[in-house]
Amino acid sequence: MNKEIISIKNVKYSYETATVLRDVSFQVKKGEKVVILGVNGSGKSTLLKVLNGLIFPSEGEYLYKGERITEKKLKDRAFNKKFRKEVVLLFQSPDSMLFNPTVYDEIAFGLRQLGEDKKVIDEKVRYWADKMGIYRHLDRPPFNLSGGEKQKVCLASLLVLEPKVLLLDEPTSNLDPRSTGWFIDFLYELDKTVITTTHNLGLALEMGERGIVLSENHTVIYDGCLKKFLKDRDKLIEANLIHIHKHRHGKVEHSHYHTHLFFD
Amino acid sequence: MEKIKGLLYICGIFTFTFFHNIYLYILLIFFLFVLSGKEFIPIVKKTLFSITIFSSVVTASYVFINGFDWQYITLVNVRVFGITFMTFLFIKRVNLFKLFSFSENLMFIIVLSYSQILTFQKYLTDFRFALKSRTILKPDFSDRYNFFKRIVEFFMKSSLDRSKEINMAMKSRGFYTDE
Repeated sequence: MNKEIISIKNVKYSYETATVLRDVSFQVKKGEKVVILGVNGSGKSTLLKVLNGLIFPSEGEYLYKGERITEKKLKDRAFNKKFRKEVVLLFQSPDSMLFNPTVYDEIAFGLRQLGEDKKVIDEKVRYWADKMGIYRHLDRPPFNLSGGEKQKVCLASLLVLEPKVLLLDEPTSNLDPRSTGWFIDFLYELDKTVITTTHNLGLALEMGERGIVLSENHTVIYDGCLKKFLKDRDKLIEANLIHIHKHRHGKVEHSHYHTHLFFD
Repeated sequence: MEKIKGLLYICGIFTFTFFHNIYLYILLIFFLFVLSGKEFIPIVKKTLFSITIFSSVVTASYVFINGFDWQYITLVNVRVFGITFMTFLFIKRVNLFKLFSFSENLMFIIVLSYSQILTFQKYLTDFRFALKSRTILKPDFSDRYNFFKRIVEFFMKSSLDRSKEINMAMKSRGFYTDE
């Protein structure tokens, strides 16, 4: 449980016109469930892409199990195979991940690439389809399913590889309330290192115990107990995660900051 | 200033289209290269990437039908390169919103098109990243085919859905009425 699996040190990342990550540093231990919070445009999705080795920091370094992840490192076939199998990313829009003709092929895609035996592939695909409740859709094209079902196909396609680290980019943004409930329960039971991004404060506590908060200035302004952060009004204002809300009590109107959060 | 740039662009298109002199084209392209400054390499790369398939098909078809006339083939390819390079440079250097600010309707169309381009650009990047993220070994031909087919289908359907949505939104905001 205590072994460090991910280490980000002073990472900076810029697109053509703007810097989206500034001096970002943190470590993640094996088995931890971390929630990355921040408003839209704070750099959450970019950070996950760095962690998945899709883009590379312009400054600073990213270490996975002590190995520095660079473009050159991922050109090493054996390492790339290990890394892509162990660190997987669920994209915000499931549509961007689905391209195989059937749900079965979609889930089997990664395993086929690994050169697994047909029988093993079949067993694993059926196991995960059953676990996700999408068994009846195995022969259907994934594109015509509902948002929640597409999300489940994507998750099955990633989990079938038995990854060590699961990166989830705003996983509940396309889900209806019932699917969101299912997803939270599923995440709770998942025995893996999970890093989830969200700006939904109401769900954040259900997704992990530790919070890393990115400001609008693209720096980390908090790293620690999520529950403590959600009670810290100054930090919430700094992250622009709460807003001033108007109220009426009879004829009296007043306004104050609101979080829409309930603690036990 | 934007209107002057727009006028120069139209003059450039006119020159590339109505004159059939390769030396004039080369002179004009050299002038465009100088104008592009630091953006020279990225724009050249983008231009070559955009015209390779089109130019190859046109050249091959011409050779197949009319035989190998190197002067004509060079002229056509240099012309295509010149127009494409000039267009990319124009888009980089000109604020289209200011250029079309004289007409409210044109501005609406530019804004809608621009927002569509940005959305689709994001989707395309996500598709590319998702494939890279899920690819353990180099994808084989059928995977590449499925991926390409899916992208084409997705953008066709999205374009249709979004244009219906935009059409209704424009109607709802009084841009036009059914008569």
